[in-house]
Amino acid sequence: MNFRGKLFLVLMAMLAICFSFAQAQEAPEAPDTESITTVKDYKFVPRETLPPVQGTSAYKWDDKEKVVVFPINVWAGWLPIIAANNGFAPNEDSVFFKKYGFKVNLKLIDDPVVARDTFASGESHVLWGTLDMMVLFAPELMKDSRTAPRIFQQVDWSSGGDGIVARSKIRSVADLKGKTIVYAQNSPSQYFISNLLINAGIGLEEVTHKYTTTAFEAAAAFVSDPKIDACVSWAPDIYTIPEKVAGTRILTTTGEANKLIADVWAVRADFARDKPEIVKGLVAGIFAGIDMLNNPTTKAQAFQWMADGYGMKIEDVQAMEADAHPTNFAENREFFLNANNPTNFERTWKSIAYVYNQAGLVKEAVPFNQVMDFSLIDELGKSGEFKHHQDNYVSKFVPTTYNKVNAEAPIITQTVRINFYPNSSNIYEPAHDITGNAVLNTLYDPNIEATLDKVARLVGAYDRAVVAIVGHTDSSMKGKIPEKIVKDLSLSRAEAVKKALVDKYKFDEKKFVVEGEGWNKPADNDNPMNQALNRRVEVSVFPPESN
Amino acid sequence: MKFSLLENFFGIRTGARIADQIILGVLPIFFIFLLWVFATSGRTETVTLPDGIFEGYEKAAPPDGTLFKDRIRLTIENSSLEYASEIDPDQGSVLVKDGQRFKLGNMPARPFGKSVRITLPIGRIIDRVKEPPLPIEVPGKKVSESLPVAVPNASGGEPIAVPAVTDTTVASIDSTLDAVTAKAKPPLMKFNYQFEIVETRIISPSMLPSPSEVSRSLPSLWSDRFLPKNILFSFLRVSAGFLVAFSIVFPVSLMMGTFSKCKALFAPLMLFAGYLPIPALVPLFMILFGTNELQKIMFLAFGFAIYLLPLFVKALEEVDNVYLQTGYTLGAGKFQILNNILLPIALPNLYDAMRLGFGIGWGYIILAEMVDMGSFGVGTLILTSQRRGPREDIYLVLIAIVLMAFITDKIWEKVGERLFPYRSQRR
Repeated sequence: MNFRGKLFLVLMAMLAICFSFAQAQEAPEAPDTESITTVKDYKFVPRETLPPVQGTSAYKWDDKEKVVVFPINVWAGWLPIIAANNGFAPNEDSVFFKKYGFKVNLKLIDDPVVARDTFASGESHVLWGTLDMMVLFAPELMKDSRTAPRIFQQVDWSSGGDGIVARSKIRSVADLKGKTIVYAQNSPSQYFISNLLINAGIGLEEVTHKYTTTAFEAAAAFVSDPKIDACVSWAPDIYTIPEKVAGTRILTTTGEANKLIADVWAVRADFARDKPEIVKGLVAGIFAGIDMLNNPTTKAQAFQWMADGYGMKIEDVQAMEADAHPTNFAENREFFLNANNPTNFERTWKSIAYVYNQAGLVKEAVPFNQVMDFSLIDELGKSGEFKHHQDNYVSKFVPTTYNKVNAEAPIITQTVRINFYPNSSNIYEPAHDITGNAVLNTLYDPNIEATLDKVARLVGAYDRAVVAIVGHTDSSMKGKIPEKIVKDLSLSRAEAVKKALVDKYKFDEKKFVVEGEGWNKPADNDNPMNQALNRRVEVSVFPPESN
Repeated sequence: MKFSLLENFFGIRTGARIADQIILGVLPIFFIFLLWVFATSGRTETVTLPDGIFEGYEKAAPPDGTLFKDRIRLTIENSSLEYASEIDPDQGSVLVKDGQRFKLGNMPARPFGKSVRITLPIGRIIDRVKEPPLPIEVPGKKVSESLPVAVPNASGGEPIAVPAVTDTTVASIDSTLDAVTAKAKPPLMKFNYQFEIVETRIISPSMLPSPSEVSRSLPSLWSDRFLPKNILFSFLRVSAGFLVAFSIVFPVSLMMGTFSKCKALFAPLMLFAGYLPIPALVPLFMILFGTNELQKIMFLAFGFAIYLLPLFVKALEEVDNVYLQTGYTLGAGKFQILNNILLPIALPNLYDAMRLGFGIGWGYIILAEMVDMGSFGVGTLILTSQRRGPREDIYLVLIAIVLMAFITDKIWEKVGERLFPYRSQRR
């Protein structure tokens, strides 16, 4: 046992002797976390971080017709732009033409590789994609400064459109260890499952991965091959499989992880350089489309256009509506400009880069500020054109208890290792010198901010889910001190993590339940005396139904 | 040697010498290669930049003539960055060091503490230029005369960073610390960097990489992405699919080519199968044969079968009735007709059909390897490179497949010459 462990033992004994004293001592002294602001805007100017564009522009453009070619895929999130564009074909009744003087040609290009190639060749000006696809595409596209993608706007959050279906015996992400999963490689599915596995502490090599090219094939493979334990796919397959195939269940969907997969569009850098007013018109026009959908007649008409454009039945198109949540101006502002938002562009981009690095797909990702351009959202904010938009993608929670939540298996449990100062529950505890005095401007756990950020990204992505924070202590003093003491210590540690999350990232307090387990649940059942592992906080995400 | 390449070019069936054949065959390939080079070569440009710390060369500076095969970062200390102005965004950003301005063009750069970090495009250091010390003029006499020796630097050669002295009025008070340190400062090292402006290419590098980029990507494809292993896996799959297809197609075609009733039985099926868009069948094969090797082999076998069957039937039907009638006259039975006349006569044509058909498998390899992409294969390599790059690998794999096709076809040819020596007789 190392020195720190011994110190911890000794101090646990001291705690047992002067319990009430220790309680009184720790309460009021939590240092200021310094970041208690709701919104912290970025300081830099996008123009300075974006790679400059050189050379003559290489996209197709007719200055008389002024048609922006905007490829889209089969996805509910495009409803606002279809409404704004008055259908798929370029026309003069669209918001874009009436307000900004250009036309938009919405083209159905469902295959991402084809969409990417039309974008790179200059046949289209826009590239659709989820943010994780952009991370994969960006390095190749940025070989030519003109085809570098510029992201100005988020279209939607996937909100039930992506999901994981598993055999019934798999109750939680942790159960996937050692199992076989099938999904479409290099797609949002891969990001979804890899993110969950890494957050659950399961190494990507501890799972057998089977890859397909599309999510439909992944679903078909899962149905046809009983040796496959889970698949990642899209609506409607993820909902129809559990209905049709016995012994399968939905493990989780973006209905709970509703701020994990962001859909965006990017424009070519040379187009953004030459035609900033048109890009601005696209952004504003899509926001206007969201407003137009408030009118039921327009919405019904938009669905009809969508059905015609996709060659689908209108009922099927309407059924897709719940798959995505179109993000309005206020939500875009949160995504692009709020540096404190746990699920903003920067953090989402970095999470993806980390996950894809772990999966061996990306060695070094492009920095987020070389593709993100928030200048238009910022301008629209200053003009106040969409100030009537409210951030209404906020989940509501009713107060609940840990026991009630814990009745069901958690979707995912993340073990957080915070080095608490012995007997302290202050996560910002300063380091102490040899005589035990606190040293100013130091932290006992210097990684605390990074650790909190990791938790916040998981908790933020699972915006709709209830989160249980459970504190644990080691069992070194078992039988020597009353159990209540360690239970209280572990509870106050869990409370401290919750408070830090709520303070820094402005989470709803009712989203969390806390519990102190004391020494009852060793981290490793095979080795219950591994005390270093036992001193921990576990963050579990529970499906929202259970509250 | 007589120049016979163009001689009698349009002579009907006059034959060509083997050397001519090779030269003529290589010409169009070479032409395509030239087109490729032409479409992917951009203008080169040379810029002058102040020397700095090159990524990966922290210990020793890269020598003149160093070719950087990857984008690398160059950190220039004690410098600042001026961004492109709103008025003239094409000008690009400008690096300022010691009062000198360096145009950066489209090179991405960002401030990094007190330094500026530039991402250099792929290119070459041509040479280094030593800037003579700034001549600080004082009317009547030179500053350097008043300060004959540079101030000794106590810290062992570490230059003291100061704002540049360009204003000559400063120099008139030549005993100030500024003037002294300006003198003490070593001259500014600069280097000329030559690189290609990829934006001037006819086809953008994000669509088509240049031949040199493709060749540079070979080592990583070969060793990091296991190209030989992938080719082997695909080759085994294609061969296995071919064998499966052959074992089904051969008896079926034999029956169809021999017995007219049998032909009537299978002919419509054969016709429909030939028209099917095969990509749509991938999920069906997955449901029938699972997601493992069997599915890939069966899918390839299906592709082979629908191609080989009509060719086999045709080969058998082309056997002239004269031979059969002669056989009957000589009193041959059904089996003898089949075994001793029909098959031996049709065999060379069957073999040719197989030789042609073997290439079909490589055409379907991407479709076959769509499912369970983790299990190696060139199809998988292409699919993943399309998504996340490097795009160079797509073209390398295509070249590898072409080479593979060339070698296997040569083998088929040689074996054919052995099996049917009477066929390769000169006409």
